[in-house]
Amino acid sequence: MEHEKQIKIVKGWKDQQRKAMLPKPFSEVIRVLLIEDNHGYAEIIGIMLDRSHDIRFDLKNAASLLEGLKHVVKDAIDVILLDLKLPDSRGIETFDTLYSRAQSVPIIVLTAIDNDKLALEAVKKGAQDYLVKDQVNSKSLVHAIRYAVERKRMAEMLFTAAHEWRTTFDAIGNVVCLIDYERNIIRCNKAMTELLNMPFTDIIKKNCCELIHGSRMPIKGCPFETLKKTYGREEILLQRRDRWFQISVDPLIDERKNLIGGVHIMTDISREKEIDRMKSELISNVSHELRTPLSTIKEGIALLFDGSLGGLHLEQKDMLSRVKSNVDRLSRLIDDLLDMSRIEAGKMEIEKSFVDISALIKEVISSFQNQANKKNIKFVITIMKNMLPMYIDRGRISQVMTNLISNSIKFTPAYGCITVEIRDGKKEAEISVSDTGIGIAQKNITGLFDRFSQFDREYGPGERGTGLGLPISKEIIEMHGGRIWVKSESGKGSTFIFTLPRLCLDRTIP
Amino acid sequence: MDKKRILIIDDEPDFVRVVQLRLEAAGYQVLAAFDGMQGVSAAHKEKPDVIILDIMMPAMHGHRVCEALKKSAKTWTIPIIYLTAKGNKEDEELAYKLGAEHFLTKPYDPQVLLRIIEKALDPDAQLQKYEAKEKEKV
Repeated sequence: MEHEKQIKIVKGWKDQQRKAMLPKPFSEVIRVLLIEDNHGYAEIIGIMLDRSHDIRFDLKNAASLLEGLKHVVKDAIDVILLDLKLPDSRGIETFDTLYSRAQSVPIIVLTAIDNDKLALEAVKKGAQDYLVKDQVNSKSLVHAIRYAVERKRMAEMLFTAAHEWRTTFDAIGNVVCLIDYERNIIRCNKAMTELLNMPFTDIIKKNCCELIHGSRMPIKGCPFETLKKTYGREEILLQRRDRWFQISVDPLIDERKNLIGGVHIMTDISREKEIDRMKSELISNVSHELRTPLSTIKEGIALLFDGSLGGLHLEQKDMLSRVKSNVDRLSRLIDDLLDMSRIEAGKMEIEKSFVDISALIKEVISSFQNQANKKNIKFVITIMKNMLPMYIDRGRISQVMTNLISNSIKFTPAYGCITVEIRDGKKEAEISVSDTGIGIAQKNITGLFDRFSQFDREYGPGERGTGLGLPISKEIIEMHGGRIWVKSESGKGSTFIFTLPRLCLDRTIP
Repeated sequence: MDKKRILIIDDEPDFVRVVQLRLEAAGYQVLAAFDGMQGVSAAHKEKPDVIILDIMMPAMHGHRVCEALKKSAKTWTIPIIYLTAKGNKEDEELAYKLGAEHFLTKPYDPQVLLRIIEKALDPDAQLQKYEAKEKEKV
C-alpha cells in the first residue's frame, strides 16, 4: 500500500513537472487588469477582447493607480494594461510605481500617439510591450497580451533554471570550474572560491593554470592540453600544497562541434591518500612485529630438529618438519607483505653487482629439486654457454626466479615438465619459465601482475599465496629496466618471460 | 683455553633463550641483558668477547647502547653484532656508522650468525679491518 502510494506521488510529481515545462494552453482564462480612467476606452478594450474566439479573457477595470494596486494585491492577475496618464499619477512614475509593486506580472503600456518616447522608456525599464491607443485593434491587442504573458513566463522559467543550476553548482563539494579554450575561467563554484580563498570576482576571467599552479604556462601533462587532441575526458593526479587532487576535464563543445573549453572537476583525495599511507604503515609495522616471535619459533624448531636438545623419534621429527615448513611459509608471506609495503612507500631498493646469472638460476632450481621430485616433475634447463656476468641485484632476481618456479610447481600436475631457458642478446638477456600446468584463462591474464589479484581457482592443488609474488616480481624487473609478461592458455600451460638489460641506467621510482 | 663469552642484549627472553641454546651448542658461554641500560652495565662489568644487540628495547635504544659502548674506553674494542626485527636501510647505515661489526635481521640464519661471530672473534681479521680503517683515514 505504502509503496503504491509512493509511486502515485512520484507519477503525480512527474506530470506536474512536465506541465510546468510546456507552454500553458490558452484554453484557460487570461485575467487582465486594465488601469485606465477613460471609461469609454475601457469599454472598447472590453469589446476587443470579447471578439477573440480562441482565448477567453476576464477583464477588470481600475480607474486610478491606487485602485489598480489594490487589485494587484487582492486578485490573481495575468497581465496589466496600463495607461500612463491617470488621475493620481502621471508619466513614467506611474509605470515605476506599478512595476515596483507587481514585478511578477507582465505590463503592457497604453499610450497616445504623441507619447512614443515615454512608452519606449517604460519598455526599457521592464514593460513587456506598448500599444498606441488609436492603432489598436482586436487582433493586435490579443496578440500583444498573449506574447506578453508568454514572454514573462519564459523569462521566469529561465530565471528559475539558472537559479536551480547555480544552487546545485555551489552545493557540489568538489571544485568545479568551466574554462575557455585559452584556459581562462568562465565560471566556478563556491568550493573553488574556498579552495583558492578568493572571491568569485577575482577568479572569473583569470587564467586557470595561474590560479592553480601559479604559472601561466600549462604544467607537464596538463589534462586540458591532452584533451585538445583526444576530445574526450582526461584525468590527472595533482599535489597542491599539502593536499592531493584527482582532476578531470570534460570537453565543452558548441553546436558546430567546435571545442570551446572544458569542465574542470577537482576532487580532494587527500583523505584516501592518507588512509592508503596508514594502511601501508600498518602492514609494515605489523610485519616487523611478527618477525620477532617468528624468529624465536623458527630457531626453537631448528634446535629441536637438529637434536641439540636431545634425540627425537621418527614421528616427532615428522611432525616437527611439518611445523617447520609452515613456519617457513608464514615467514615468506611476511616477507612478501614487507616488500609490498616497501614498494608502495617507494622505498624498495636494489643493490647491483656483477652476477653469473646462469649459476644463480641453477642454484634456485636446485633448491626446488626436492619439491619437484615429490610430484615427479622434470626440470629442463637451456642455458647459453660463456655468458658474461650481468649487473643485477642478486637477491632480488633470485626472488623473482623463486616466485616463478614455485608458481610453476604449484600449478603443474604430477609427471609434468618445467623448462627454464636463458637467451642472451646484445642488449638484453631473456629468461623464460614454461610449464605444462593448468594454464591461465584469458580473462585472468590482464590483472595477473596487479596487487592481490588472486583470481578464483576452482581447481588447482596446493596452498594459496598472498597474490603478491607477481606484482613484487614485476616491480623488481622494472626497477632493473626490464619487462615481464606471460603467455598462457587455459589447460595448456604457461610461460613467464622476463628480460634484463645488459647495460641500463638505474630507473628512479616515480 | 677459556670459552669465549657472548653478551646478548634483547628484551625478548624467549628469543634470548633460543639464541643462547644455539650459541652454547656451538661452544660459547652466553650472558644476557634484557634492556639497554642493563646491557651497557653488563658489558662494562663482564667485558664479553662479542655483543649481540637488538634495536627496539625499553630503557635504552639499541643505537644508543652501541654509541655508549663504542665511546667508552673500556668497551670500544668489543665487536657488536646487531640482530633486530627493525631492518630499515636507515637503521643499518646508522649501525655501521656507530661502529657495529655486522647487521642481521630477524628471522636469522643460525649458520650465518655463527660465521659472523667467528669472524668477529678472529684477531687477524679484526686487525686487518682496523688497518683498513686507518688507511681510509689517511
